[in-house]
Amino acid sequence: MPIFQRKTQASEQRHDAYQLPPFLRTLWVSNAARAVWLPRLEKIRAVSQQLEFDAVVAGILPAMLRWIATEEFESTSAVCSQHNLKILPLSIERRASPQISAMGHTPVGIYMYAAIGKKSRQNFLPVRGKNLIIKKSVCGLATPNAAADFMQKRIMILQIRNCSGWPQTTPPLQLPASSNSRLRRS
Amino acid sequence: MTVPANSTISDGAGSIAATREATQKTEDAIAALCKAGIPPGLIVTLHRYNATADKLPRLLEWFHSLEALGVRSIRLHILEVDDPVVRERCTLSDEENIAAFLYFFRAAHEFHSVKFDVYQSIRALLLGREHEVSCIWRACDPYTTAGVSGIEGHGERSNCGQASKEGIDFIKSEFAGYERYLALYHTPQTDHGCSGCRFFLICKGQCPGNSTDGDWRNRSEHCAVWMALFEYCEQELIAEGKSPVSLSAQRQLMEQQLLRYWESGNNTTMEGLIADLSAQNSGQ
Repeated sequence: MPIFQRKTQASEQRHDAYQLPPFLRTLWVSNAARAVWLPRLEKIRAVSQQLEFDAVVAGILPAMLRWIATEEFESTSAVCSQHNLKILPLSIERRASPQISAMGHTPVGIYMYAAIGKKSRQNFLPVRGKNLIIKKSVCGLATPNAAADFMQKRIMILQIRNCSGWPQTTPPLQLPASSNSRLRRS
Repeated sequence: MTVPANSTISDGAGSIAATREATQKTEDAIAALCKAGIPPGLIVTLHRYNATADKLPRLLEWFHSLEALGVRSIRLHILEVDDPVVRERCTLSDEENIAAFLYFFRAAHEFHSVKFDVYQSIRALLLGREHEVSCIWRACDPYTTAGVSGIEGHGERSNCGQASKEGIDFIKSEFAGYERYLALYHTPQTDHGCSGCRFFLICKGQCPGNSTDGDWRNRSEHCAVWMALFEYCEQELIAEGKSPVSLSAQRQLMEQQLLRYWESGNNTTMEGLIADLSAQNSGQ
């Protein structure tokens, strides 16, 4: 019997298409080092998030995407309202924290994926250049293919940062096949 | 209790006199524990000084004497190597390791009360019983090492020493992660991954402390040894009329389910995967 199972062409393609989810692991040489450096790194991380939020408030960025612990949604919404921003829930998932802190990922919990942007009459999130619009109702959980929708939103994450404004028209709700398959897990 | 080997067959630590004196103390302690009714489980590391072909019968004889004392469990270890000099002087080749393990696998039937841990573990894993096995088979995260919790001099929690390859005893990370296993599953074997291996569910790339080049991103450097032992036990189970997981039609479904656990930051056992699949099938 051969030691290694013969690999099929399909399995090779499946592995080639795989992308390891982003991760960050942190190790400390001692509790003392952790006590000094963890707060500093957390502050740096918080500043980068605040800068992104401030950029949206100032209109430099049209919108941002953020994972929010469900228990923090209310307070986040309040902050958004103060700045005349709209928060658009996209999905809710039970998962390891997608919010990478200086400690690495936090344990599994319920997280909401949401877009934050200037208030608009339209319930659309734009992705410029790809002729792509994702409608709020399609991004909800009650969709026939939640997994596919989730991956579509990942594409949106990559592209929304290059978007210069909310769209004036509504292109068809369709993903380019090539970009969709690029991010699909096997 | 970790034992290098019996003094009459291993003189590898310093002088012969010093080695024999230290080993005698260890053997006395084993005897005392057995006499007190608390027989220790032993970890015996196989290396060039105790497990080459000419020394195996004497090592087996020593194991029989340990059984007579009252020892009930013996775990065989491949020598962990962090030093090129040790690698050159002390390690067995893959072929020698395989021969040594198979020698004791075959001899396991001669023992009435002693269980040889690795043999039992591989058979249990091939039958989908993961809760019976040790940390090396259970997707150990090198930054949290669930199987080992050390306490350092200042009261800090530390990890298994096997996973420390940088000369720094890092404190335990707050959260476990399974990136190693996600990556190994998808990485070609030519790049030190496990892609396409039918034993992945059982082995998972094995202990990160024995990864190739001391880099936990790689699979175990002893892959060829484990593969040979898996195949031996697989054939043994087939001959007994049993169905190893490695040849199961459900194997790939179980793998995919396990990947989903890891991607969500969780781990599970094969029993958990089988229960998940049963639940899914009953729900259809």
